[in-house]
Amino acid sequence: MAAPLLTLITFLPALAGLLLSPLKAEKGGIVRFAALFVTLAVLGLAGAVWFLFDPKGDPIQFREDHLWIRSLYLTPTKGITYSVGVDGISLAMMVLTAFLMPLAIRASWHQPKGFLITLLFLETGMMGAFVALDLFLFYVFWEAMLIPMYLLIGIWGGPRRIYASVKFILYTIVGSVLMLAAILYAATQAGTFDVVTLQGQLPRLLAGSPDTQYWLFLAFAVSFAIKVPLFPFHTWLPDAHVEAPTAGSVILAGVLLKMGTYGFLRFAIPFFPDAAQHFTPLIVALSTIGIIYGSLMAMAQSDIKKLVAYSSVAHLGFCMLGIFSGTLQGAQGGVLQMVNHGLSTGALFLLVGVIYEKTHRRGVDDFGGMAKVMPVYATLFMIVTLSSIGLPGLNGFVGEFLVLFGSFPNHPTATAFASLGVVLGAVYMLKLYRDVFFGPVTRPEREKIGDVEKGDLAYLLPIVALIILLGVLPNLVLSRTERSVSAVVKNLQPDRVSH
Amino acid sequence: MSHLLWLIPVLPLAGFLVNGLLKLPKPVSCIVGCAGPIASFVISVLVFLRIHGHQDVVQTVFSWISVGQLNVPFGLRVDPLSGVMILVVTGVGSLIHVYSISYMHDDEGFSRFFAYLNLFMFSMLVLVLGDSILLMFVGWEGVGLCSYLLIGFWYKELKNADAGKKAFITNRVGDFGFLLGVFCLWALYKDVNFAQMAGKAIPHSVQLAGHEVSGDALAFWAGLFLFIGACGKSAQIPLYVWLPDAMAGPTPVSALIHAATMVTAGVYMMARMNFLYQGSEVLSIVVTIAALTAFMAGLIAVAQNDIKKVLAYSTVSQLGFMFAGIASGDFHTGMFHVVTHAFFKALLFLGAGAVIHALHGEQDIRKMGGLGKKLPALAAVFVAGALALAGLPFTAGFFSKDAILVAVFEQASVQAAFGPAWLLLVASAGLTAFYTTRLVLIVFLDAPGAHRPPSPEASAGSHAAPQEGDHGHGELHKPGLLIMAPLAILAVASLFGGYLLDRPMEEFLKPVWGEEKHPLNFAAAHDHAHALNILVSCIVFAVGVTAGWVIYGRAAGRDWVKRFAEGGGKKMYWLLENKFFVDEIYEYTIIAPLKMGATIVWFLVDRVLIDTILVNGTGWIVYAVGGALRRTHTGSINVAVVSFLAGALALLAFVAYQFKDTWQLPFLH
Repeated sequence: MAAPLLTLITFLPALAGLLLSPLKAEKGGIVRFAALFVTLAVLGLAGAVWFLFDPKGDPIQFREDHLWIRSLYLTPTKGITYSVGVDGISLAMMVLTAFLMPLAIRASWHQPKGFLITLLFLETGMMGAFVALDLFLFYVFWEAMLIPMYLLIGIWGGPRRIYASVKFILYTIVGSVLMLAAILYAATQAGTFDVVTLQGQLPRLLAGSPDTQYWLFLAFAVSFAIKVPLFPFHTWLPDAHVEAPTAGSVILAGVLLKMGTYGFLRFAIPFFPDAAQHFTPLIVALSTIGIIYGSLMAMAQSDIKKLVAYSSVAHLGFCMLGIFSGTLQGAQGGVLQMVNHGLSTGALFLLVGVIYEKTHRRGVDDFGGMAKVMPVYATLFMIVTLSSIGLPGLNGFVGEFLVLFGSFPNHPTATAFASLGVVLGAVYMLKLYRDVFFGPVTRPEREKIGDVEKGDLAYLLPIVALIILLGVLPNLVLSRTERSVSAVVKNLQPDRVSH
Repeated sequence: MSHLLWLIPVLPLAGFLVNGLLKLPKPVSCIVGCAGPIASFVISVLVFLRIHGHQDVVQTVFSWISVGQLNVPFGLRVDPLSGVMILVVTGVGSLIHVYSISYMHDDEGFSRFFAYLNLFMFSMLVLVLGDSILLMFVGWEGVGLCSYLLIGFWYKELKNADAGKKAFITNRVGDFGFLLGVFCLWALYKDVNFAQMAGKAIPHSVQLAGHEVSGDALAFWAGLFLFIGACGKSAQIPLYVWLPDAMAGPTPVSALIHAATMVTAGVYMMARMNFLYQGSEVLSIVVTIAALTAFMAGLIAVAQNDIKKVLAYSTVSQLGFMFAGIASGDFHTGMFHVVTHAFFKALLFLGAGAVIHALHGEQDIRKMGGLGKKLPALAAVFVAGALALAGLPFTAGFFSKDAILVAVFEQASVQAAFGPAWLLLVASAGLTAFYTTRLVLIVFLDAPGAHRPPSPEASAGSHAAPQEGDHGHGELHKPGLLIMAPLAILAVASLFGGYLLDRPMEEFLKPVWGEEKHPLNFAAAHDHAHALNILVSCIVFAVGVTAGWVIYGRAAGRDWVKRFAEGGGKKMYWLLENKFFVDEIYEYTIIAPLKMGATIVWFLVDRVLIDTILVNGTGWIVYAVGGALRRTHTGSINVAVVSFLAGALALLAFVAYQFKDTWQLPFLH
């Protein structure tokens, strides 16, 4: 591989952030355009990787390996390495991140310089976590990505931003610390931090000691479950979302939550397959509870952002159910649903941001009859709503369907309950839509707020277009992820061959 | 011809995109809106002529979902069954589009209306033509979306938007069943393609969650779950409640979606899945639900005063007949009724729309009357539709309803559930004749205002507020050619369509389900059953019409009618007028508890238990422990020295205790 594409994708934003930092605050215009340009360039590079990725080629492509910290204890790599590479799953996540970033920047056009630079650093953290193939490197990015999000919520958030940001970071770090302990134990046992080697060796090394596997799995799993968030580790999410600025919510829902599901796919399941099988009933149960519980909680909300936050709990429940379904269809659906949720929930937060900027309100009661005042906005909101409730023809359906379809053969009862989420999703989303858009205009001062502006369409239309595209051609994603996902799924099948 | 197949659904889709994305002037907008469906109709006819030689026309457009064994292309298939349906959908659909040009002419959402209507045509055609149950589900949900959008078309009134939401969510409950049905089908057949599934036998046993499950049991559940889906879309007990409310939409929508096409999708789906239902025990459940629905909705229709509500409950009732036909195992009878019902119910709805239009938005039949003299042409076509609905011998409705009664009657000797169902259906047929007669008499024959409610209380609960157009008592608004022409075509079809299609359709559809298995002495018994049922059909028609005519026509206002209306009839009427309070029962047993429960759980479990006690509680404990320990860090040298000594002594004591048996300290050696 000639050009270190993944390294460029990962570090371009941080580099730009560093270079932009000395500029005076008044130079906001330059920072804005530079940030947009850099994120678009990253999207271009990620797009290149997407098209150059050969679904039938090596499992991991675009690999780069460099020795980073020498340590003779660590065979065969002689130390901690800077290794990056993508398989189908990380490719999908990387492109999703690259796609959402310019939109988030464009939606933050009015924000100060520091905000945009923080977003750029955030992108480096996320990209790094998705492409890292060294466990140590992964952990560095995993923690590094928390800081910008902490700042986004804590500095530029709503009235309760301090509470929300502290809760967010403490909760996540509790999980991270557990994971760190497990990482250190696992890496010293196997003598390497290399993820691919660990995936091959750990199951064999730990085959004889199920208790060790269980504890290590749980340490990873709790960390990821907090991030997902899996019921009952979800209560940081509504607070964080409500207080976060629009771009923060978009990235939090669109990308950061996927770190959790990604962690299960990349580390927890392949490292500790016996434990993963052992805990599958528990995780399936929690996912199903999350689907129904999240939907019920969404029904009870009167703050639009909180409603969307709880709907994320339900949607991520679908992802987790699919990942632990033990079938290719279910896990593929789970991965696709990760992408879909990033698009539809990202779009919902972008849309809420539009009216929030206009009115500084986001309560359901603060609006009413908006379809008459904002017809274009109402149309876009309708499409995204339909995507969120899984209408066939849009992206949400394929993911949700594959998850349920794939989990039915192994977990029919859980699937039946999870399918109720399809009904409940329609209940809370259509209620939201009705209350905000239909009927007479409830507040006279809203008559004059005007429809979406061209500047808003610039970031709303691409995401809506992708929502439709993936509904019609989901194979664009599925074909690239199939091989990697099927390797993960093999770990969960009862006839898994122990080495 | 097969390479043109994709155009049938895609042409209306193009119409939707053009009208949806561009702001066109009205004339262009309606030409675009009507061109798609009409062109689809033409292609459908061409394709239909092709399949007459029992040659299915298939086309795979592109690969939609493929994951492992699951491979779902966007594939279309025209066989006799879908061939009949596309003709009905595009034919009746085109007529209704033309009618809408005039009907919706003054509406500010003119282009939006045609865009939605076109999107509906696309979805309905995908539903019909889809070659796998998953693609059918795409259309199935698509028509549901269009129904939602069109019921709430006049969204500025929350009542309309609520009716749309109710329709969508009730249908979602059905979809829950549909999805589980699809999962069961996959477990059974490892396929979702109709032709592939039909070609496979149900396996003896299936692996599910590590257990052996009998294939027949799973097939039963698959059939039942799919029927739940059908109950949602096709408004059967217990999911019928959305359809009467759906009348909040513009009348052409009621005609196209909520009478002629979409609501029959459940019947079509079960006919499509005939290989699953043949000889299935589910059919006893289906026929019972169907007959109960037909009877109950027929009863409610008697006591409605909104012209569209009468027709809506009538539709629910007629859908019951269609399901009974499917349940009998003679699938063609159900499909036959789908077709004839599309003719006469579209006619009745469009006719009702013309009446409403003529009266400037009035929908309450008690304020109508005497329209027969003022609008004779409209009255004539409406009566043609009414006669077909009521089942006048030799009209379309008579043939199809009779075929269903025969089929159910014959099945009664095999399965116990069919006997009572047959009786209920016969009674429903009588009710149909009765309420249809009532409707026609009150709207067209009586003097205006003859059925004004005697007291305000009597009309409480049925506020049929005018919804369409402006309300005023000016001149009658006479229907123009664009309205009358579609009505005339449908009137001809309603009168003669049954006679013309009865035998040909049965023959034509035979390849879809093959020869039905009948006992040896079938032919003779069949003739007997047929003769008996024709007789019964004629009798109930005569009784129903006569009763309606006596009560609402000839003897209206007589003392004994009044006494009945004031006495025993009043309570019954009250119960029927309020639709057996089913909506209220659902509200208080399901909807309100769900809403309340969500809020209570949110507060008690999410806020208090999880967030405050567990999550923040952990934080507080850490904080409190840290705070307490902090007090020991006083910074005073004295305290530090004392605690150092205390610690050192404690450590020594601990080590000494550990080695108390030997009294030999390890570091001394």
